Amino acid sequence: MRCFKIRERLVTDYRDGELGKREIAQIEEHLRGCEACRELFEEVTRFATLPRPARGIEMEPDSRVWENIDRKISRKRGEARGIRGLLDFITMFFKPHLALKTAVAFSLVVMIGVMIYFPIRTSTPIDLEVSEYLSEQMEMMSILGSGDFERLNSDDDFPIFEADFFDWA
Amino acid sequence: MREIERELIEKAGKGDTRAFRELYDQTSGYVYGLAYRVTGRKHDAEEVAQDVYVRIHRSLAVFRFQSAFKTWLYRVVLNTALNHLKKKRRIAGHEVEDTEGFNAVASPEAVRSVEISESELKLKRMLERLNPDQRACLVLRELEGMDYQAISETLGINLNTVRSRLKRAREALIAMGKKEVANDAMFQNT
Ligand SMILES: [Zn+2]
Repeated sequence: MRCFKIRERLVTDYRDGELGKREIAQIEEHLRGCEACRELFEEVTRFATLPRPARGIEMEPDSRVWENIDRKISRKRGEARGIRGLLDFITMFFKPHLALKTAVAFSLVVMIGVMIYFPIRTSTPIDLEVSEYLSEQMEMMSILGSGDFERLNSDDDFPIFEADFFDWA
Repeated sequence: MREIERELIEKAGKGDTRAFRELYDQTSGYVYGLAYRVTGRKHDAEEVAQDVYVRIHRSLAVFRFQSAFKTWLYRVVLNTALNHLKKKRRIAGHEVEDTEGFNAVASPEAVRSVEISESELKLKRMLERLNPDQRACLVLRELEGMDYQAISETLGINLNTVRSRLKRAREALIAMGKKEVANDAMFQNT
């Protein structure tokens, strides 16, 4: 192997233990005869190795992190209970397939209601939260109906909830 | 991070609040730590961690165990953190440096001991020099000990991309390390 190839391995696969015995032997053979490559590997160790904290990546978050999460999810839970109750009621009368369509239609009605209602009354923060939550639900419904999972991530540049992780059907 | 028990995930997915808290206790050190290493700021790491658990809470019920929970969780953390950094950069193109930037020591444990804070400082300085994508790869490799396959699954990129990001990250660190050594030598000679 030429120096060029060796150097590439020294900063990646060789350094990270990703090679098989045969390749390791080849590289070590080269290192014995090539000072420049030996020097590079010393530099990897000296300059490009992260100091590893005792607990590795783990770090304790402040207790307020949980407090904030807890507050957010309890609020969502409360809101969801109300809406889910209504959906359950509708589901009782229709087959699942029809129920989904009904849910979407119902959501749209609520959505329009919210849109008409909220701008007139100047919104308090709570109102905004509720309307935000409702529109989020609405969007979710229409995505579930259309099967267009890509849109679940529409406000993110990196897809976060990819369809292959979940069983939406 | 150890793999999380399926039963716990299922319970939490069914709305069991205690199970969700247990899940948080078992994972938050990793979630927060990873977010902190990628964003470099305590405040950002807290926001990312909060965001991650709210998202998870919403989607646990439909998690279908085709991939490891751990992989999925790390992926959510990294994508949330990278999005967070992107958004921040967009909002404040010329952001005023806040008091606890990459150069400050942010973790309380690190302040307590001079020895810890020195290596902590070194770690922060090194990560600061990399772009967020390189940072994520190197942190998963060196602090979390993942192999290339695991990194590629976690980040949703192919093996060659993992390789080239690690290569560029290390080459950048070597170049800067050598430059520092040269500067020190010059300083000592004057
Ligand atoms: Zn050579």
